[in-house]
Amino acid sequence: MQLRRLCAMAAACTPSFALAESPYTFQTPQSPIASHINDLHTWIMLIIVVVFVVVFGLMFYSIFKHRRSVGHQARHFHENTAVEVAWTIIPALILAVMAFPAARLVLAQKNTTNADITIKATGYQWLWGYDYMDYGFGYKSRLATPRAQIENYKDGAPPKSPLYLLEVDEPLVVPVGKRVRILTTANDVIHSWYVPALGVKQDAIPGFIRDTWFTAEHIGTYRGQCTELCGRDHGYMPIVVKVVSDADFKTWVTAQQAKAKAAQDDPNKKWTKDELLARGKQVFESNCAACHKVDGKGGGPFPALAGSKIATGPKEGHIHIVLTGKNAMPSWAGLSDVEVASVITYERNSFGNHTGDFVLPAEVKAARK
Amino acid sequence: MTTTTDALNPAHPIDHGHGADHGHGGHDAHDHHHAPAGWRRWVYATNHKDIGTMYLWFAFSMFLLGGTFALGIRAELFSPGMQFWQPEFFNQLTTLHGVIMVFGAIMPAFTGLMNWMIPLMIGAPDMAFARMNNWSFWLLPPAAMLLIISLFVPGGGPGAGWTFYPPLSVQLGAGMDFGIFAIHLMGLSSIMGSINIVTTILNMRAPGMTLLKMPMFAWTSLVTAYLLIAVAPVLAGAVTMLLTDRHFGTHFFNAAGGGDPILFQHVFWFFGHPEVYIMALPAFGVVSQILPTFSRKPLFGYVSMVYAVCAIAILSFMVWGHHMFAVGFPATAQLFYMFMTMLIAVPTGVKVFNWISTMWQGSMTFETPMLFAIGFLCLFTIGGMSGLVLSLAPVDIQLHGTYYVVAHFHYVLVAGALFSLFGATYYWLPKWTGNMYSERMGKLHFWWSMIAFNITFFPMHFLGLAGMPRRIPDYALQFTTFNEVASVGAFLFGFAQILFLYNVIHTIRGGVGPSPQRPWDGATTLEWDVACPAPHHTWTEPPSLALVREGLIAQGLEESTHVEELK
Amino acid sequence: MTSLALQRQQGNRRTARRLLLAVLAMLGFSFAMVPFYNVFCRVMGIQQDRTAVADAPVAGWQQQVLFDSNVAAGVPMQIRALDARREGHAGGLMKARFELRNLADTPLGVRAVPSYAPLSAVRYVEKVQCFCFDAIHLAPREVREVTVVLVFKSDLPATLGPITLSYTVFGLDGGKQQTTATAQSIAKAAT
Repeated sequence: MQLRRLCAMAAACTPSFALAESPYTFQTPQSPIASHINDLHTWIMLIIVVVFVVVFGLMFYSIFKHRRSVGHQARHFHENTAVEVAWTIIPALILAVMAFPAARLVLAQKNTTNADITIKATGYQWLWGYDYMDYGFGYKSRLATPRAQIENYKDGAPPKSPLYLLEVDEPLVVPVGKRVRILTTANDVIHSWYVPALGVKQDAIPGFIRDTWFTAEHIGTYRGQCTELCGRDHGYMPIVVKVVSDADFKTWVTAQQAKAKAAQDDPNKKWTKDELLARGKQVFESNCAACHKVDGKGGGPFPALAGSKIATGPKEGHIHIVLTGKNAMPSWAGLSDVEVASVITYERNSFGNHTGDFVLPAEVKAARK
Repeated sequence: MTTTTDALNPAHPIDHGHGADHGHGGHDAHDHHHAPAGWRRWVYATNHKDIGTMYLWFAFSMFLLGGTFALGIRAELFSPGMQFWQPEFFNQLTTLHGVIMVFGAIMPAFTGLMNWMIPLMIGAPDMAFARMNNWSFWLLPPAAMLLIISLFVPGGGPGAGWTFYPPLSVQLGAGMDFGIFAIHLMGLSSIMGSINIVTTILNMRAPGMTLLKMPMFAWTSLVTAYLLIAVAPVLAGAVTMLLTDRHFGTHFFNAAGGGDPILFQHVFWFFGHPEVYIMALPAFGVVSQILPTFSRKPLFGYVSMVYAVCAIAILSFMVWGHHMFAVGFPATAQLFYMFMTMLIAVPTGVKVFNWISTMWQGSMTFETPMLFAIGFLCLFTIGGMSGLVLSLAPVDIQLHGTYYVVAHFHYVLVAGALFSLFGATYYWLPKWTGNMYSERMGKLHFWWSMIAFNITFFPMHFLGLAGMPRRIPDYALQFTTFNEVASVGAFLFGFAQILFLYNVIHTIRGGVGPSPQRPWDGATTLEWDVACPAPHHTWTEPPSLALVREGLIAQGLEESTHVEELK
Repeated sequence: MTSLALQRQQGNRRTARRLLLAVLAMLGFSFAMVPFYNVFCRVMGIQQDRTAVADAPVAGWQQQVLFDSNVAAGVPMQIRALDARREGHAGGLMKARFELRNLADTPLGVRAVPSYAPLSAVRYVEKVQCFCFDAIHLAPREVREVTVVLVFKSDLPATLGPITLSYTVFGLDGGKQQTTATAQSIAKAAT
């Protein structure tokens, strides 16, 4: 039964990761460092299995043979210097042998020189920001799994997508076969940038910058998660690395650069209400729904937006609270004017709120202080 | 069920006589007039046995509470998606589970054992500072209350993990302050308890019992107490800095004011790594008492055991960086901590080999304490080996912060510390209660715990290897099966402990009959030379040199002379 | 008997006094770790060294430096590296400019905290002049250009690879904002 379940799971997992994965060991290595880690692990496991068999063999031999119920008499020896010296020195030697490849690998991991491309990964509560330092653009990468799939407190949740919790709206895109240097830092608390298949993990520390590197050997998509407890939605800030060919990467970079330029012009753009509402829904779900819930009903210490005084009262108050925060709610001044305007418009015209208000980016700009 | 005491207890009839010869407790048994009755006996307790009992009950209640939190965690993780808790409450569960198990369950349980057994084992009338002993216990319940109350303050309990890393711990609500104060109280309690233990061991040993002839449990207690004296103040300092950063505008851990959040991790793990051995060394001591008893053979390599304990204690101050391999050390620091960590495997290996040699060529029987000691040996070895994997910094980069680490430290702390505590309880329960526990129920408890433990924690190795981060309330679909297995195992493990509770209460109420003074025929240490149950006051007069010598000869620590052999 | 008990009591007190001293020493040590850590980091070359050097510029290796900037949560400002990527020489000087922009209608006090990657770069690069040395006070909506001047030591190894110098701008009130928010939430819940 259990075995069938395991097989079924292994089969089900195949599409969810880039390659078929064994559930019993590391993900298939996709970078030289990850391969070396894999090899080192295999080596130490071999040694461990040998030691394990010897130690447990002796112990269980003793347990079965040297028991009173089979009439064994105790022999009262209690020291043997030669044996004691041997089992101090032999493990020490085995460890010394293991230390060599491990030390070499440490040096390789720490060697971040000769990078072809440098990307800064910034940890936010609870998403990742990527800045392509050589190309002058950057973007945020957020969990794409809808909240409705996550919150199963009541019956009737939609089925989970195959990439549940491992999908983002904008993955990190890197070229295949190139040395990618990842700089990590954080905006608020410590996060950790971890992609198992690429063999990289580096804490992202607010106020400090650290670096690590990888070279992806194959085109594909590799997924990881934040591995340092960073608060409420620690489990909901995945990392997705999309490895593409060099040509595709160049095309993508050009498109991103154009997009970045376009985004800069945003404040002058004339927004229609529908555009703002659509944009606002998106902003709400990636930033606000964690606490206020997708349906705006809130929960626990987080107030409902549906019918709230702020979301149905004067819009100045609403803009103010979004920009400055209040009590448990942080300031969202880090969002752009367009994002703030759209999300407020959305909140004032959803969840049964019908203010009919229409907040323009310019109003947000004026309200910032 | 109605098996007779004799069938259950392996004590050789001759030993009854042996005990009677030296039964120092006999006349003390009537000495009850010193002990106040009712609640005063416990609140004003200065007797090491009463305090030890309170410690053990406190630890067990905390164990059940922490276990309940663990089941809350495992229930949520039974399937992907959020079913029961909000993510922030999940974080509080993991944090409180950790804090309560470490500071509320394991450490007080060992302190309780030391309180009960050290004076008995070294022939002292009581602990050195009886009133301070009372204080060190009575600081614990308020600390526990603070932790429980923290769940009900606005913002809920501390949710930054038991490691309290800033800036997250600076960001959190008032529950964090409750957590910090609780740690202060528990740290103070540990420090006072440790001063008591060190003083008792150094100054109050029976005549003829030199340091290198003490029972192994006394040795590990001594080293543990020294470790606590060294590192508990460091933890207090770390959380105090956290507190001032939170409320008084200091910038110890805040980059904006010239501080460094990583500094906290250094200070914390300077405490935290020795803390690991604070929880493991007494377990080593317990196992070093139980294995020789049931192998009917002296402990193999006593002196090298002592050296290994000391070596582990010293090395434990130099390896804290291995908890921080992912923060981005320079290569030199990464290498230093890796080498030192690998080195610590050597003395630990020596201990395992010594224990196996103790069993080798013995005449073993497998009563419940022995089963738990062997269970400890097997599972602790597995935990040690996964520790070896983690010691390799490059491999740790993959495994840091994943379930592999969770599996590793539960193998050392549950199968290590907790199993040894169960073993110790069954081993000394006859001495504490005067009654024999039900061997059948004890064995059921062992096998049930052993199997459920492995169902719970072994799959976590696979989860970690596949890259599942720890402390997440929800997980990707490919981790489902192993999480289901682990959750089922956790509930089974939880139920097994109800059985333990029942067995202990059953024993207190009479068990399967009164226990002889020396229920284990292989037991040679001094605590078995007092009456059963141990009277309120023991060793008011130190044991005679002859009695001490007799035990030491049986333990292989002294050579017997010709005259004694004839006797 | 009593003499033994008395003797023991004295011995016990002596031991306890010593242990108590050890406890106090360790408590002191935990706080001493703060300055010790900074010294240690400087010795290891991890923390920035602010002493100026006057090495004569000598042509050496081409050294690439990337300038990066971040703003901590809740600080209403922008910072932009105007010279995001520059080349220098071992033994030479390098100047880089940043643009600070106060987005708020109120004055803003900030401090920039520098950090290097790789960490070992600190040993070979020194800041002669830096806007991070002092707190910066920006007028409402002010845009200001600030600079950092670096000197590369002549023993700068060619193998170091590109150096990233990253600045994170924090508000001068540090983490206080969040603490105030917490205090408010408590006050609110209490009422």
